[in-house]
Amino acid sequence: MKHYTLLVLACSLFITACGGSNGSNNDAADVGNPVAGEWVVVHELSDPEGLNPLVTNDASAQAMYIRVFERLLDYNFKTLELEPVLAESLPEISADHLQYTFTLREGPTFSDGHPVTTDDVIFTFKMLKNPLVVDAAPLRNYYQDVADVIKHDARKFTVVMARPYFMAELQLGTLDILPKHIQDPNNLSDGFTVKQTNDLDAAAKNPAIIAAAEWYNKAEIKLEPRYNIGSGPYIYAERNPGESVIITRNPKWWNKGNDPDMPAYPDKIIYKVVNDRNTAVVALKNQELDFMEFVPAAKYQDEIDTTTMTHLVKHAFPTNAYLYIGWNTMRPVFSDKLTRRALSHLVDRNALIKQVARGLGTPQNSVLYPSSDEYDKSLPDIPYSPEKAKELLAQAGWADNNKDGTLEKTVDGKTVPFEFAFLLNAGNESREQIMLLLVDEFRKVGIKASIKKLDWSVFLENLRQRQYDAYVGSWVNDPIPSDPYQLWHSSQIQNKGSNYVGFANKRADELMDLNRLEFDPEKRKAYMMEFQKIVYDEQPYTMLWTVLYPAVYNKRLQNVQFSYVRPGYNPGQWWVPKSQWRFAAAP
Amino acid sequence: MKWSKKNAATQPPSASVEIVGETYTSFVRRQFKKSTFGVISVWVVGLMICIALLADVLANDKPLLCSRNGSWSSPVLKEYAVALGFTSWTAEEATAVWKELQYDWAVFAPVPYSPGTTDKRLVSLKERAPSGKHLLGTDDIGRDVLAGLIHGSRYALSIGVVAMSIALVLGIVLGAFAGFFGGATDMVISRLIEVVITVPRLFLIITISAMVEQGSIWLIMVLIGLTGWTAVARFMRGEVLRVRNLDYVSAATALGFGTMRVVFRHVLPNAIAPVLVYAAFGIVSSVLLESALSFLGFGVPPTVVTWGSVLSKARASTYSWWLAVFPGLMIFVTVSAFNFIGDALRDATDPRLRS
Repeated sequence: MKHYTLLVLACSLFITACGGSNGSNNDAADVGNPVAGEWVVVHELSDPEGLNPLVTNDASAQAMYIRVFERLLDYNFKTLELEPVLAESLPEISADHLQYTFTLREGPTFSDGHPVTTDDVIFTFKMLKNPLVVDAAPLRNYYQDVADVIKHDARKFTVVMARPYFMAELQLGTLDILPKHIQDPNNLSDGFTVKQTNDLDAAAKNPAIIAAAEWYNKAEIKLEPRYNIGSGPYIYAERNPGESVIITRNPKWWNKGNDPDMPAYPDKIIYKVVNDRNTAVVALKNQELDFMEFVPAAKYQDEIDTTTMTHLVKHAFPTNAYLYIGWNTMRPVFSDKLTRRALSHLVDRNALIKQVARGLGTPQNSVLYPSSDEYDKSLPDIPYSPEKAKELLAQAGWADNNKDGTLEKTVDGKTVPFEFAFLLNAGNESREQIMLLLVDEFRKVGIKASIKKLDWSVFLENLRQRQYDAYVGSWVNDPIPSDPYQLWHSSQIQNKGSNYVGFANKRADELMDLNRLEFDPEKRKAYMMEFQKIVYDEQPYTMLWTVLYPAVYNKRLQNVQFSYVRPGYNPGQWWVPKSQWRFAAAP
Repeated sequence: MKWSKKNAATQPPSASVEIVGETYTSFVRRQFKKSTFGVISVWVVGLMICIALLADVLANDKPLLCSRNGSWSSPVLKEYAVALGFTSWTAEEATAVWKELQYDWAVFAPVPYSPGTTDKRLVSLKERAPSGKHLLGTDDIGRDVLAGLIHGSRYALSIGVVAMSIALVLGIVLGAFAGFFGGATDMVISRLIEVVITVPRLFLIITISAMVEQGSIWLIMVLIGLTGWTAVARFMRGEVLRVRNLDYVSAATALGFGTMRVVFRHVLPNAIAPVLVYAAFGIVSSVLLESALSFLGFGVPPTVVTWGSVLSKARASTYSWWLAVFPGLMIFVTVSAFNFIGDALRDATDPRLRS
């Protein structure tokens, strides 16, 4: 489940480009030995879209389901290496990179005691690939090339790919395995095969596929704890819309005590929904929340003073998330790369980082993640320079011929004034600040910008349909090798793909295709270097900065560590000294 | 009371005005002047109107008057002329950063910032706090609060007036019809009033502005007006019910005047005074409602600076007290002034309250 997720509110913070996660421990004196017990309260900005990992695609949901469900393989929280979890070992891969044979461990069970078997894996693939399970679409595109899954026995199976893909092992391995006996009690999925889902037209007419999708599209399966039973260290206990989701420790977890990164200390983890960050900060100060992953930058820098608020700890942690301005290259005003470069020269990134991100960010020049090997560090900054920008705008043909204060240009025989609107998702204050500063900056060279504020879902719909001029956005992903296909391939422009800016470059497409088929990291790096130069030259995005998350948490939490593995922290590792227990009675 | 000495003995107050040669308006004015707060408030509102009208001269990043290379110009006035299409900027002026130009001499506005002028050098709380450069401080991106409040007074006043005008027109017409015709008309309009009144206003406006692609200040004015007419209509209906049975209305009808003429020429003028009193309070609630909406971040686009939007910046920056205090004060003063005017008007027009 490694795909780009759009961040709703990620905004302002930022980190250095050096790789590797830095765990930070409390400076705390009062520690002693870890004790299991107590409840911890974690802030979430919105209700999770659902509890079921297959049909949800937002960051809140992910933070919860990764504690409940498990995968064949997963990242090590510290080393970021792919390690076997439900599988005995990494898969055997055929020489042609088309067959991946996994063997499940003996022992893993779902929290109701039912063993995890090949049937569960196949069921998961069937539902994922069932084209009529609508909400699985964002995930499905990564598994298009799965041709079939062949069962050898209850623990061994082979996944057959239609064509090689360098991240196949990773994508196949990191699919969350769902319980067939719970989510498909009537065995509807037995009526069709994985193979049959590949022919979309036939699948849409296949009664077994239709029946299974009808059942699976029910809201209960997406939302209710009783249908979402996993094999992981925690169990969904309660889902209270608008309020919280509560997970409790799985007393029968098969891997209990063996995973140093998942000691599962807290009895309960309460994900409390507070949909306004300013309100959440008050709750944090009042000790109603234990952990907040993202405190608004200004509050983090000015208001949270740990010398007077001695019960709080501040730590800004690096993530694979960057902020950028996207220009809709299909709009006449932005169709020319000289114009887009001129706009980049008008963005004073260093000042924005200082004022909006309050210093919690570092400039990023390329569209890959700085933590990845393929990131091109040699691409130079595009410095803030209104003079240079004016020069480029003039070169691109912009001039104020009618002297009304706004530039014009003749595109396809029509005179186009340089006017456009930024699209803003309501409630994101730092993006609003960036836009207001840019509107003022652009005005000085004769560009008339405005801001259109829309609700998140409408905002997203407008982006997907390319009904916008420009926007400030943020992408986040796991620390995996670069595969920019989802964001940059020209095939992703139509059908609500993620190539919102309409970037289409033949050579870039070729490089992305080659990259997907290449298993040699060095060759992939060469492709990606060339790809980055093309995108840099075209400037469809004005890159802003890598985001550093300013987390604040209660000092009673011990062993708080951070990592590039999403969501960047693991509440199962935290423990609270008995003297500071508040919710649960000490045993 | 001068007036009552002269007339009270022989005439009921409301009927006597024109007989002694004093118009109703001048009578009300004389009564109004007895309220000290009312009079002060009129001056306060007058001052607000002046500030709103002169906002571009009071707070602007362009010079009011300047001399460059030996020739005079007034960029502020020229901006109006350009907007009206009388003239155009020179190539240099069109994209000038006025602060950074070289002048022989220049007179800048008392507040040398426009409401949208940002300053990226102001970051910390200390730099943004009120100081000699920014008298009332700046918001989180360096926009001057005083400039914002001066220009925001335009929105506050126009919202009050425009929204209340819409509400008055709707309310007076519907209320007058309901009161005058009675029967089925009254039945329908009264039920309509009840339906509109039961919908929570703030939520209705938030819902509608969320559905509209691009919110604007005009939309908010219209929405406030369209949801605020019910009280006016009820008031009007009651007054008309009272007035329509008076003898002069029967006389007008007997003389064969058309219904519309009777309603609008004879009934309305005699029923409208209490409604105008209500209008003063209506303006207050419109100003407050707009502030509340801006505070919650609905409707007004981010580039528009209103009192409520300055106030809302205080939420994200709790320690920036100037972002809460000054716009709050402006709202308080305006709201109080209109309230006092409403009070004084009511006292002046209602014979039962006259001592």
